[in-house]
Amino acid sequence: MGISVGIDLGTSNSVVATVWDGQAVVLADAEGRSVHPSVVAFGYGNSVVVGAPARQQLAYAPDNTIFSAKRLIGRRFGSEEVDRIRRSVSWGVAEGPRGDARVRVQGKVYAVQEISAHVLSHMKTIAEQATGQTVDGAVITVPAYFNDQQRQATRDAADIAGLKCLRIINEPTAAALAYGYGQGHRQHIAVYDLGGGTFDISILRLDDELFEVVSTAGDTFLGGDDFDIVICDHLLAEFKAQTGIDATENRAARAKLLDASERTKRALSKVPAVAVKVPGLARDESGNAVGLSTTLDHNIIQRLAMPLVQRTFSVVDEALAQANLTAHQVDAVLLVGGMTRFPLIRQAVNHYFGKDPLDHLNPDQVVAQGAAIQAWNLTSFTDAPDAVLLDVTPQTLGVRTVGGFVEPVVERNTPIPTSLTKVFHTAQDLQNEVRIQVFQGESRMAADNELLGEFVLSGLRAAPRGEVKVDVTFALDADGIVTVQATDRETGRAVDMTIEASSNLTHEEVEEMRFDEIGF
Amino acid sequence: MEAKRRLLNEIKALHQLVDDIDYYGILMVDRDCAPHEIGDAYRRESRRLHPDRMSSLENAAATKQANVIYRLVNEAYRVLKDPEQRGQYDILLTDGVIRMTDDARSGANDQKRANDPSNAAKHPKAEKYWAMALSDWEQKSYRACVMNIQFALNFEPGNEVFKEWLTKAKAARDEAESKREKNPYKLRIM
Repeated sequence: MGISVGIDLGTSNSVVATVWDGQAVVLADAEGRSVHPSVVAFGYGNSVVVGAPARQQLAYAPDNTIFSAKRLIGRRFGSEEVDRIRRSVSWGVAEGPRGDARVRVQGKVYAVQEISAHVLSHMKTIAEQATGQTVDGAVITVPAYFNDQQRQATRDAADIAGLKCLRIINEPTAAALAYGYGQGHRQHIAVYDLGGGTFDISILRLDDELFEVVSTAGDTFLGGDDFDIVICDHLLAEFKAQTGIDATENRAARAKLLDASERTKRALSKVPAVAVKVPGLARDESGNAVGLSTTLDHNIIQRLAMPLVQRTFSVVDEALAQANLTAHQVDAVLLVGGMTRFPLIRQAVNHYFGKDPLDHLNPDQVVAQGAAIQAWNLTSFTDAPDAVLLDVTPQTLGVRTVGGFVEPVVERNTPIPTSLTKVFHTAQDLQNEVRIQVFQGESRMAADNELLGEFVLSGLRAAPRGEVKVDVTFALDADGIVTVQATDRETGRAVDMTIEASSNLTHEEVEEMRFDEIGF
Repeated sequence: MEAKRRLLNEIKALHQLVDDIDYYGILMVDRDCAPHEIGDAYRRESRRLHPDRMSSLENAAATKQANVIYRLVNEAYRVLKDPEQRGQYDILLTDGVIRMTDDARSGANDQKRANDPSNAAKHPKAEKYWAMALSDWEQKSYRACVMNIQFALNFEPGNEVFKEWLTKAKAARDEAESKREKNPYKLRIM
């Protein structure tokens, strides 16, 4: 029998952990690294490099080196978000067969799930090398604000990597598990999670081994990468001011400056000012290579980053309102994600909650540790419960009604497992069937939400409109699987559908993409 | 391991009852329990019955049953933790309805409307006096209230709701007046 692991599949970095002797431990690779860049580099032929070696390749082979691919997961090509990502990365984005956004490298197009699968496979290998055991299953974390499509895409990635996905859990929830595991806390905690690509806030009620998610909110387009981008834009402007050269459209220069921005940001979490020197950015009119030399300090960063920081707190307001708590009623604040190392963020958190955030946990590692605890919890045979996680639905589920509106059936932040029923009436005279279209999202308009699936209930009695009633029941299990059933009240006839194949890949495609055992 | 097996049997037994057990029953609390006991009970039963506790047994049927049971735990908590919904549910329970469905809820509202005195009058003239009587009651003008109910009764002498309220209003008037007499300041004003 092998082990089960927890994997923090991050936008920028990934971490793998397991429970060993009752402790959640992070597993390191042969070089002793415990945090691995979520970067996949494609070389000549079919060679693929993942992690730290791939990150090294970023500066000189930007087209073939995929970073931040997670930001594309479950998104449509041509959407505003995907356009934003395209502008901020050095690799190519292409359209998939179902309108999904994919990655283009060396003339080949890959589903985002395949890129993530390489990262997951790398994590699995590290865990197996570190422990000498096989990995039987994994709990994988996602941002709290991921919708079902994005969660399913993450499951697909595990499937492609040949890894059994035990459960998908939210990153902040995992962090709370790592914090409260075995500590006997009785309190309300807030988890402020500013990662590479997303911001999440979750409010939990801890009662010894019981972890109750009270509310969560988030912004899928707010993270460390955005801080890099504002710094990078500042450096581009500085470069133009110094040399008169506009390098905005120069992909290689952008990649170098983005890399410099990221490193500068890291350095600034430890020292008050950093000298930035990037040689060979572009050539001037006489063909000489010119670079950038400047200094960044806390004041400049604060000015650049403040609007982004303020955006996080309007999301926190929302989560606290849903939890019916004030900022001062929160007993402890947990910081997750590399960005929270930034002094600016810590100050802002202190200011908002009126207390210092906890800092005895490693913000890069807590998520993977918490995932490992949940993996242990789902596979262990011990009698006493180690941790029971009461989770909630990430987004509202509803049914499309007349006029393109969505009638919510399961509101977001509803504790799962749950089952909820709403009665719907026919909208037209003599209507003999209803099409049940299931949507996910917070908008009142169907068009602004994600369509998860649809099915038809036919054979209704011919009657004036509004006379025939159909019960629509949503049932959600602990693993987040959604089943929707429509029942004709008069005949008792029912049709149901399990929403699972909602990612943009079909089962056949996943089969085809699955990595060969010998290939790795 | 032994405890997990016991839990497995418990889940099986509970699953058979799931359509017959009411919200108080699934949370194992008394019908007249205090509000804070509902939350305590929810957390106690969550520890015991959450489907994840079954997960390691890899018994798909049992996990499914546990999910069905725990959905009821969540449903019970959702209704009972909210005083208004709990009140509605208590009315339904007296009629033998154990689940708070959309239909049951609108049924409870109908019943509530029946208890609401504002629709008690049938005759248009009685309705006018009745409305005035109810507004007098709100403003604690019990003497005027008694008078208006008596006028309303002239048009609908058999109305049971009117009669019931007349008794109530008279008692309130008498009580208010007895207090007034004991109050020296009020006496002086009069």
